Amino acid sequence: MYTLYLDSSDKNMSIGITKDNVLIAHYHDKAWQKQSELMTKALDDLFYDNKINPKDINEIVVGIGPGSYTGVRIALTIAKVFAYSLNIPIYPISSLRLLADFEKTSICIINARSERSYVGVYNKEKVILKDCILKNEQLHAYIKEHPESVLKGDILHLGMKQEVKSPIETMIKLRPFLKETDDILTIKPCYMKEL
Amino acid sequence: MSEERKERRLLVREMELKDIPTILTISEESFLKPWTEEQLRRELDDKTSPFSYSFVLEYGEIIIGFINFWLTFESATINLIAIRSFVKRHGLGSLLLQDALTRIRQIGTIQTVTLEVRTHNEEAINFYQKHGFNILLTKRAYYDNGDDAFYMIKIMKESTRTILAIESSCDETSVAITRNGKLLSNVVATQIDMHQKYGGVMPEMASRLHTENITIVLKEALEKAKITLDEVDAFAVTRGPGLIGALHVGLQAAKTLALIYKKPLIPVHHLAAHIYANEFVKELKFPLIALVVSGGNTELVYMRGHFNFEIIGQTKDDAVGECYDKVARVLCLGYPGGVPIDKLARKGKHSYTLPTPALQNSYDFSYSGLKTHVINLINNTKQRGESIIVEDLCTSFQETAIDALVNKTKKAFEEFEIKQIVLAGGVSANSYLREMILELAEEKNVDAIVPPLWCTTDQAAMIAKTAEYLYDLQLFAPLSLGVDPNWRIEEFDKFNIN
Repeated sequence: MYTLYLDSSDKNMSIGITKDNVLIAHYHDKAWQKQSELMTKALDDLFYDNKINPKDINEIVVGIGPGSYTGVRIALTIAKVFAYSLNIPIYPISSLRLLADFEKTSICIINARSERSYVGVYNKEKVILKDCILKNEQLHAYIKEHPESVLKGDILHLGMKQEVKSPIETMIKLRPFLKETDDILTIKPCYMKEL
Repeated sequence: MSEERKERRLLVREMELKDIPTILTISEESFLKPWTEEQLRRELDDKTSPFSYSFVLEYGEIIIGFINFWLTFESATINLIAIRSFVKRHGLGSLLLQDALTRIRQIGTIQTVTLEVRTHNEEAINFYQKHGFNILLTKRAYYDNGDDAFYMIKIMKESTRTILAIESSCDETSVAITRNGKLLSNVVATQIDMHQKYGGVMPEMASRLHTENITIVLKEALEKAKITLDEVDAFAVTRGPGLIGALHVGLQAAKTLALIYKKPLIPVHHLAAHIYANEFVKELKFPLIALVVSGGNTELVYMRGHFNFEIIGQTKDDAVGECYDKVARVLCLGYPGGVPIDKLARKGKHSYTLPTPALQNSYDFSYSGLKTHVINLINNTKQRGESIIVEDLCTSFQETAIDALVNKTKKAFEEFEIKQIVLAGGVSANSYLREMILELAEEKNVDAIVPPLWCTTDQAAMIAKTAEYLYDLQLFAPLSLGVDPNWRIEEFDKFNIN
């Protein structure tokens, strides 16, 4: 059974393909504001290099946000069209959750602009703090109160620099705990911000 | 003005006697046994060679290639095709050959196209194979110098071509399917209601709605057409112009389908599609002038032939449709503003004097000034405690806005040869514009196409119609295709790849 993993909710583009839950193909790179051009091509290359037919994919796990408005739409649109065409299920996962270090309590952060951040706190499959938007000062306070937790995600806007590792490994570990979406036709991104 | 205007572009036209010197030069460059002047003259003479057809490929006014073929009752033979050496390897040979094949196909009775090529000419053999020719047999010592020839043949059967097109450039999400030019389905999910409270399209909202609608619309289009995705021969998508976030959604959908089903991806220019939407009604007749008018665009486009676009005039700021929306907003007539203003304009009279949006000494426009003037007029009148006669203001505005377009179109007749006037884009639904254009066409004794209302709005049917042509031209994009919210119609065949 082939599972396709996708995420493009922030500054990177991450793709993974597992066969019976073993990772056989993987791509992760910076792609800020370029996911629209690059993602399908990267997918195509991955299929080709690993001699996998896209029609063989049995299910899709996709990051649905929050994050960059355009970013969350790219991966999800690809996932929806894939799922509709092949009649396969989608397992949505929070874009914050997939940033976590599965083993440690992780404070997952994505820049929400205007001095705010999208924040979710996770430990293994448990949700410690549900995804929300915090003012950066509140976030700094939370971080101070939880020194044993690790910070995950691009935290440049908080004055700290960190490399964002590929989320695919975490997504694979979380796969057993994810729920299939009810309707692949209507599933929409999680923006967390109304217009 | 004409000199600047003659920008360089490609054009295929019939060969004329005046072309002979250039043709001889190219001939000498390309063939081991080039034609003589006498042979060439004979080919061009309808009396001695009524079955001979010769076309040249021009770049600006320079001939860079030519083709000659003969037609008999059921078959065609390609005798010569040559491209100047300094422009080889740019797909121009393909362009020329495809043009000839399209003409041959249109005749209807031709079943096969044949040609001979030297057996050692690998480049030519590959070229013809790419275009569907197969080697049938070898003719020994066919050429004067003893070279053997491969006799190659292409069967001209009616090939089924199913195109699935996706349009998401503004506030309608649409998917349409055509088969050999026939529209099998055209599904549109409009967002107009959602944007009403903003008085215009709110881009982020549009993008969100496109993401919500895209697979639903795709499913419906396939079900209505009663086809499966495996049956689609190519996936077409609007690459631009339009709202960048909205365009992204359609693009991802099209690219994903092209990837899964391993079919070509055709990038379509939204305004070119508005022009070609008219072919659901009648054939385009060249040379023509197209008035492309919508909420986002106002352009006068001259076409000498298929996909030969020259923008001769455009708005420097607001589009005419945008102007209508803004005026309607100030008059509290709702959004979009075209229909309510059109209706009220029928009832009033042109009693307000408004500045024309037509710019002097060019075919350009500026609608921003007209908009500002109307808004100021309304505000000042209110301030004085007086009331606006809404119907009269609508008539005055409409006539001022539309007359400028019609007059510039009329002016084009002085400079350009025009056989047809074509209306395109959302504003071509305006009743006054339609009336005035038909009047102009009658006055100039030329044909006019005024699109049916369903064709004037954004929909994927026009994208599919245009893609049918682009499929023949083999205008395919790689999966790294990106969108261009400012894509110019003259560059409909250029798309920068990362």
